Amino acid sequence: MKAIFWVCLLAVAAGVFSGCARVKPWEREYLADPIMQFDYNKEEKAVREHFLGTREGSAGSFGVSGGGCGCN
Amino acid sequence: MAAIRRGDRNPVLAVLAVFVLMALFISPAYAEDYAVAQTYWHGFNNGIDVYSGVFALNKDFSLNTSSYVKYTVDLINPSFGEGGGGGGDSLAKGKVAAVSGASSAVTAGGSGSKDTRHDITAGITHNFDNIMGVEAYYDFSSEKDYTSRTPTVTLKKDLFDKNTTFTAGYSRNMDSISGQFIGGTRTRNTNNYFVGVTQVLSPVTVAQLGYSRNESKGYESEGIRLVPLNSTAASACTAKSAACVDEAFPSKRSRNAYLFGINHYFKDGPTAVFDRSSFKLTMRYYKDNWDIKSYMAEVEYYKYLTEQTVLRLDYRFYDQTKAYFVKNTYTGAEEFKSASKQLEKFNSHLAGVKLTHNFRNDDNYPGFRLAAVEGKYEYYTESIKVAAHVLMAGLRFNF
Repeated sequence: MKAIFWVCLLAVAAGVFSGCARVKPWEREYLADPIMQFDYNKEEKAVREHFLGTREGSAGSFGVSGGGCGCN
Repeated sequence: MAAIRRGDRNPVLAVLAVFVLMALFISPAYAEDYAVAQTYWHGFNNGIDVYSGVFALNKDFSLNTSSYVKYTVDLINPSFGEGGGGGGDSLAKGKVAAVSGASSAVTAGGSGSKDTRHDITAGITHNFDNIMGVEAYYDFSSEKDYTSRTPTVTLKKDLFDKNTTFTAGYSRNMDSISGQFIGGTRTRNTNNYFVGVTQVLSPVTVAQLGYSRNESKGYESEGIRLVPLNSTAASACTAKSAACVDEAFPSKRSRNAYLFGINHYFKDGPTAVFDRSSFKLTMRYYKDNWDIKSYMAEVEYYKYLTEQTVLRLDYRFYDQTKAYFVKNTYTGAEEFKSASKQLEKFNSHLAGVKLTHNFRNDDNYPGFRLAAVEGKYEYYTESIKVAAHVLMAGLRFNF
């Protein structure tokens, strides 16, 4: 799993820094769809992260925007 | 940091929340204005129930500025319809690491404990002439034995015709803990740092990378558990004794987490399964200085059943190692001792289904209108014999 994770990370990093993806605004019809957003329903996401954060020994990398953790 | 009185109310947060609420009703309407009302039930297999309500408002002041307010309430084992207010237990110091009552699911006496958590978040987002976006939020969370204050600042920068977005953020958790076995109030402060990049890979694919680091100092436990020594049963540790002693954690904890996500849209495909659907993969690797390592992978499948109805299927797998000081049996001579299941080795599964129905916008009826209704069911289970059902129902309004 660790190897798969790092391979995916490097592949995306290569895409990021290659600058080859230049999608024009008029080509973003599908990217604008709510089902393509990483944080469209941030209220539900916050409840999920809070619930799991109290169960699990790990935390973080959920992003910092949108309010604090308040985790116990 | 000086001890913070339990139940203290932050005047800065109150003023900010009032300001934001006033602005909601005196500024013109914009496309991104919405309100959300959600209710949740988390039902654990040891009889603990947590009922939650979430109410949020997002209001644009202008094309570049928006405000956000959210209130969350968690009711742990509430006494619906019972007289007497639940008796002394509801007034006693916390036996429940409330948040969602989750930790109490595996502690002695947890099923009878009650608590209520209030959480309010208020913030503002501003875009400086498309040069950079800034978000500033403040979160206040309070329950019987725990209070947390968290200011957050996030910066966002778009590059390459908004094909790339860099995000950097910082928040600081200022926690006050007064669990029943502490005999007072202890504090813990955590600095959280996050950097991330979102990259459009194609007209139908977007990916995300993120890294976060947390540095925590202070009282790292919750003060609601005792550690049984030698052959003492954990269920017998309801009070301090020679056989049931306080937890002892290191006073510092450093965490690192790495996140990867990718989302792909299927316009059409060989079968109807791929028509107007998306597939999202999220993976996270975590490591801290207590020797806990974890892997998380989650897949989500979204499908438009009709023009207005969306189905979501999701599955999440999580696996973690134990903290270096966690043992099956303690003699009492150890420097660090833990009775927290959160720090043990375990894995978990979470699977669920969600339906969202979106109502069409009708320009003939402007103003406050129902935009969507949603509901979900999830089942959560851990290898350490914890399980929970999760139900959610929600409404979204545009105005």
